[in-house]
Amino acid sequence: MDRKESRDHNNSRKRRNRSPSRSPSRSHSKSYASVKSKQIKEDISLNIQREELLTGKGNDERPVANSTNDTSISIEETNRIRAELGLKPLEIGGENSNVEASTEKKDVHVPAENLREKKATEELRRKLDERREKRQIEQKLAQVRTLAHTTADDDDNAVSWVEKSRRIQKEKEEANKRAKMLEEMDEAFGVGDMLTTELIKQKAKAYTSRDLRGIKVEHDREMIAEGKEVVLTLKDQNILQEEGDVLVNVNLVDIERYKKNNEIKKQRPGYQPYEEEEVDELGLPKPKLLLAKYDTEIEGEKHDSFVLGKIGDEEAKMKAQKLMKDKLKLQQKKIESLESRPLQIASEYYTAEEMVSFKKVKRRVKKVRSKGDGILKADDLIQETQETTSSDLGSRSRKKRMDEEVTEDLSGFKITVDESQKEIRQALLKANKLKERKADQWDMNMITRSLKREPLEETEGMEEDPLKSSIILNATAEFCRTLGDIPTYGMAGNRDEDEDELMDFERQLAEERRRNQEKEERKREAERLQERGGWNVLERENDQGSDDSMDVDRNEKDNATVILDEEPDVGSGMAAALKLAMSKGYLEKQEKKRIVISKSAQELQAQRYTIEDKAAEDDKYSRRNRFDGPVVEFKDKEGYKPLPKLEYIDDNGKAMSTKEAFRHLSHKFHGKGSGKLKSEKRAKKDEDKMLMNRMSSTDTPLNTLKKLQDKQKELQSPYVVLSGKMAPTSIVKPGKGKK
Amino acid sequence: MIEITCNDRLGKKVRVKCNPDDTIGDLKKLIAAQTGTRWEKIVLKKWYTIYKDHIKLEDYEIHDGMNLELYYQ
Repeated sequence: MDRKESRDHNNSRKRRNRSPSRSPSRSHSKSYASVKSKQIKEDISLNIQREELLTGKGNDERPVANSTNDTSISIEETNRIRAELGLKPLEIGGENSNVEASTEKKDVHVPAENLREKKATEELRRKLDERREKRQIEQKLAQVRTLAHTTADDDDNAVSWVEKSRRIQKEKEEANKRAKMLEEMDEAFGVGDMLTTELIKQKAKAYTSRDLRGIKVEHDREMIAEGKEVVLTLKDQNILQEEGDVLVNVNLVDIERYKKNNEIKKQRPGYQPYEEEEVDELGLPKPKLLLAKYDTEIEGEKHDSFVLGKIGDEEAKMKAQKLMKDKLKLQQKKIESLESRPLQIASEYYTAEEMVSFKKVKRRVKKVRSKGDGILKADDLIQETQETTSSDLGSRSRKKRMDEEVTEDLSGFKITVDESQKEIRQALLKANKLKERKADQWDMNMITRSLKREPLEETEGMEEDPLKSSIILNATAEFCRTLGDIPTYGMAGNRDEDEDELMDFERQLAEERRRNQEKEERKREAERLQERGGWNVLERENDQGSDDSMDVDRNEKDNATVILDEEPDVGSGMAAALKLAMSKGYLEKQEKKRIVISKSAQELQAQRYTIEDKAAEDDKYSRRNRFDGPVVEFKDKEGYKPLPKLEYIDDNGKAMSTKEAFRHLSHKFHGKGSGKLKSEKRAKKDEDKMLMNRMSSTDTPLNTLKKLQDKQKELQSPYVVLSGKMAPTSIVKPGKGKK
Repeated sequence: MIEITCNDRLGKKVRVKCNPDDTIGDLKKLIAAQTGTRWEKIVLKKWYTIYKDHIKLEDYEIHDGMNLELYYQ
């Protein structure tokens, strides 16, 4: 109970202590609050007490937190509690000072060392040590005798020393004597020889070269020079090793080691993709092993070794043999010189020597087909064409010698293929010259004669020999070309390609003949007229500007100039009609003939044409002979000159020019034509052209010329009188045209 | 002797006298005696360090007049 009182007293005191610092109003409120908290605390303490009672640990004397915020109990009380808890009592008061003392003790002040003193003491100690040492040495020396002392002793022993030396000398002499005596004795008994022989024997018994046979020496044979002494020792080996002894020289081992170290120093990194092949001392390439660098690690180090004695000899022999072999190999190896060959001009063709290496394909001898041969083949035909075309070039000259040749001429005058090109060329030249010379001599006679002959040939040759026809065409075509364009040609049905060309030609000739006759008639008429004293002006118009060479000579005679060409007489014949058509533009002069020829040639070519040929041709033209031309003339197609021509025909069946054709194509492609204006314009142009063609080439559209001529004929005067207001009469001269 | 203040912030604040060489466990027992709670339930903390029972106050450097946080577990 008193304890409680004391607590209360404490609390009251605290409160008293606090209160002066606060304002009275505050203290009021605080006191009120504290009262409230006090109640709560009491409640709590009651609860605790109740709990303690329940747990059975109830202790009435236990201090309970009182109402104050901050509780503390006195020292005595705590000590009591501590005693209960089994703790030592609090260290109060003196103990507190004690604690402070202990803390002071911990920080003991250690005065700083005085260096000077330290040094002084050290010096002192050293001096003492020195002195002690000195003393010890002196003591030692005191025991040792000095030189003076010893000399003093030796003075006594000088005699004895002399005696000593003398004794030693004597002993030496005696020993010598005894050795001599022994030797003499040995000699007397012959023991010396025996001994030496014995020794030798023993030696022989003990170890000879025979015993060394089969022992391995672990050095290269070359290392041990011949005639040189090398001391070999047994190599250290494993005791359990079953192999025989191995001899080794220490120096050689050192040398080997040195070499090996050098090798290791030289070693480069393991991976060398572009390493050059190593070559051994003989120049033979060393075989390159895969991952050779690991060989020593896997298989252990390799030592060159040889075996003493017989076997060793054999081994040496083997080695020597191998060496020899290597040398032989080396000899077999060709030595390549670094000198390059002398420079040459590169040629595109093989030299004669090089050509030898090629196997020459034997040329097949062409069979000469007899005239009456039975079956005809396409190949044969082609051959024939070539031959004849080549020979035909000289046709003019042949025609001179007509009688015996003409019949034979076209049927196949043979030139063997083997005949050289040179000869052919010469022949051609000759023929050309002749042609030039004889051109003027050429006359109608020949034509008529040839014409007479040819039909015979044709009848026999045409049906069964289309080849021949083509040949003939070639020859005659050549001939006709020199004559110039034959206007009747187109009319004769030549445009139809299927038709036989020979027939056309025949027709041509016939027509020509007819024309000639006509001309002659006309001429005669003209002469008649002249005799009558009429105009001969209109005589010349039958030429019609055609460059028919046959008429040239006759035309030259007609010097009279003509105002206008006569309108050709349609009634006289087909030729005349055609001429009219040509002049009027109904027919257009076209070089159909050439096309036809080329077509026939194409046919022939197609027969002969193979894929190989094509490839060869391609090759020929693409690579080396693009600019040079073919090296060897290609005989198969000698007469063939390609005339590529594209023809386009419009909706009306008219041929179009390239420009027109392009326009046509373009319009087709783009799906739209030219505009109305343009197409109209073009149509008009076409129409005009047509009109122009239709228009009489010899007269005005109103036929004024015709009228004029008629008038002149009627009046039989070379002029016409034009009546008018201004000029009643005027004379028009016949030489001048009138508009 | 040192005096330590222990405060749970629920209304209990006790000042305990003890020796610096007492263990935390002893301190807890003293506090328990003073407050009336069982000492096993007491946790002493200073900030986030929970003081362990078997370690002495001086080792935790708990000096006179220090405040310890008092929690219950």
